[in-house]
Amino acid sequence: MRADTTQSLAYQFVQGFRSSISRDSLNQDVLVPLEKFCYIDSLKQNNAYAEYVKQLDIGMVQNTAAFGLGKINLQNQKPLFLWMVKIDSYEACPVFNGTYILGTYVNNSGKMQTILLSELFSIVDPPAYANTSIVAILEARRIHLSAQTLADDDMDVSGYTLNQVEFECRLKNDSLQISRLK
Amino acid sequence: MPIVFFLAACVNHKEEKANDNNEIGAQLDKTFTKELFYL
Repeated sequence: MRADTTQSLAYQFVQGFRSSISRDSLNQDVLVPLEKFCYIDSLKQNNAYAEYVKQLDIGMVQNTAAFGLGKINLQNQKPLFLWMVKIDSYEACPVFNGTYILGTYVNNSGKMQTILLSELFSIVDPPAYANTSIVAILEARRIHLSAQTLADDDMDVSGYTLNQVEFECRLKNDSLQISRLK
Repeated sequence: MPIVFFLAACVNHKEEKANDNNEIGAQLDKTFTKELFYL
């Protein structure tokens, strides 16, 4: 799916979504990037971004963007709204970038619920690096999520750490419920 | 009589809440125009 970069989302919109993110372990990765996006977008809206860029230092976020991707109906014919956020850092070191796709569901009583569906994040600070990827397969009755983190604290020494977990998300009692499979 | 008033106030409050909530869904539906489908 190609992102429609003409449909950018303002931080006021994203802030509303952020407050509806469920607090399970899968979603923790995206809380800080969303906070950074909201901060930088608010600077842009108030013509303060150029000043922020002049004061950038190592480890700080430089660029952010958020886009609406579209909507897909769940089994109850209500839409899951799909949107994405991107961040990247000032020059090394460390250097990092992340792309996140999220899904927001509004239930029958109007309560919003947002979950992280997909993530590609990498950070490098030689000799260490780490990559995280989350892939979601959307089916009519469930969403299958595979998350993988590869990390190496010294690239000059052989060996690395690999963590893999799987989750599934189902619509139950008009709410998205995430359970860990393995 | 005070009880009746109290109940009426609760109902009104609930209706206002529901309207707010419906607005969120409607606003998102208007913003996210691209419809996606399962393969």
